[in-house]
Amino acid sequence: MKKLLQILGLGAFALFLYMPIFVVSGSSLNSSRQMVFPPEDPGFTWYIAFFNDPAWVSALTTSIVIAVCSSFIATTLATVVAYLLWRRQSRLHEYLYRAVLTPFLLPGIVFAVSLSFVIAALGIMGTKLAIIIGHAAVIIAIPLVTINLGFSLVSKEQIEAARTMGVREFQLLPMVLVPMIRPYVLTGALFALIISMNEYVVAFLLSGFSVETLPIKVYNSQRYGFTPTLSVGTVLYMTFSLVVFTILAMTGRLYSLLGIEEKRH
Amino acid sequence: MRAWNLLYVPLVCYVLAVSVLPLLFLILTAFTENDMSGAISWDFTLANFGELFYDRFYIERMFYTIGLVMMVTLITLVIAVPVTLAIAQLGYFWRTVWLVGLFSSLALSEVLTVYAWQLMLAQSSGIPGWLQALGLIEVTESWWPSFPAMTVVLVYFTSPVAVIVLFSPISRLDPSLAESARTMGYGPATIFLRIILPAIQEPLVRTGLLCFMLNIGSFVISQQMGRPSDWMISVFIADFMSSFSIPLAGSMALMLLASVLVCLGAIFFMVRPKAVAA
Repeated sequence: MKKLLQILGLGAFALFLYMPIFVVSGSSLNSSRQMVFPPEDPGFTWYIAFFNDPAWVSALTTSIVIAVCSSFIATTLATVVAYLLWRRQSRLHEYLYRAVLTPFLLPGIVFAVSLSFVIAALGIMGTKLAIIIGHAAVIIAIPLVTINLGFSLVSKEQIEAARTMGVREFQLLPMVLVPMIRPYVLTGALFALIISMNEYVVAFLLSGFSVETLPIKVYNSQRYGFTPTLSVGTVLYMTFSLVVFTILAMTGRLYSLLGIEEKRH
Repeated sequence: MRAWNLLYVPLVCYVLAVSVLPLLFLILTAFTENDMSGAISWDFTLANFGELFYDRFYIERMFYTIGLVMMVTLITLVIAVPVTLAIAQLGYFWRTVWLVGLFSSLALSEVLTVYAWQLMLAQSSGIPGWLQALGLIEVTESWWPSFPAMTVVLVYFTSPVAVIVLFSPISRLDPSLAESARTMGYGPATIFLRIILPAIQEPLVRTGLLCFMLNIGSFVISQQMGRPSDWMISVFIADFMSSFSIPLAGSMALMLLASVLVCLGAIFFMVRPKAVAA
């Protein structure tokens, strides 16, 4: 009885979570411009149209470029901060850690508005660089959490053992630490990349109406009515996330995103 | 060792650029007449706030926004706790499938989420149309924009976040606690209220705060799913930014930040004494 109730409850939640995605996927298969569900005469017409439309391809490319750069910057900085925190463990480093997290902790619109003033003062409003900086500042929280977890799992004994075996101080980082935290770095970087691709508020306020990421393009296109190309963009994004998270799950790295180590029992 | 210290130079620059300077600029913009046109003016003025507080409209919007987001956060938690409890009891495979689904839906941009819900609540392609086709109801228009539609999508936006953040504390709960309570004859409701809830009190507060921040800082859902009378304060900030009323947007963002900090302080003082006592 309790089991049945649980399954029904989870089923209802799954329906709530995935019904909209299902409707979008269906509508992307419509052959005409008509947005009906279930789709009429289903096919991939609009997927071809999406990739033949330079405006959509350019929005997608912009999103990917920004996501790759900001995720790279965020992960590099997060690695340095986590390493320094792990190595020095002082009050000062904890302040540094919190200062780095601030943009993530502020309400999105407040951070976006505040950062836009700095970006305007720097004279880079409406450039990809501006959005890369803004995204890096927000998404850095993710690699910081995963890499911190990685460092917390490095025990004193392991370092001691490496030293006994003749590893010098300057070799410790490349020979011992990097291989140990690499999976955590990669997991954090991938998740951060996905968040950057999907982020809208910061991107919108720093875009200065001249840079168009895919979410910005979708938002702007909605005003002129719904077309199946909008659904195509959504389906592509959802599929990309599903693929990345499935890969993380299959390599057993998904749980480190939750800040825990969990292996198959 | 000295070479290592060079690492601090880019780090400090970075922290200055994205954490310290933005807040300083926000305060500067709110209290001066700077409009991003270039030359920075340092003349102190309360004109922006005078304009904001000219009538009670924005103050009322502020209270409405906080009330709305608190309600949405509560609904989110009421849904997320039992869902997380159920997911944590699944086997490794199904639990992982759930997490993949939750992460993917958490990552989905609010712009795309809004679009998906607009399709689903539209007369031509969504639930109203299906119900009509079944002859259940008579609908003449789509179900959005409306207050209920906005509320549902706000909950939709934060519920995967809540489940994911609650997952690790809930899956670490000691099952023998509930087990022994059951042998002592307690019903499931008592076990939930007296044993499980107190055990996850702290993560629950943390999750609530995260959901609160996510929704209060986003404007797309409110703007797209609600009518103008349903709009949260963030929608007006974004509007001011788009129409280049920069000082107004700045002072409003500062007002939002201050209100959020006051709320956080209140929650902190409400929760802390209990946590210490426990």
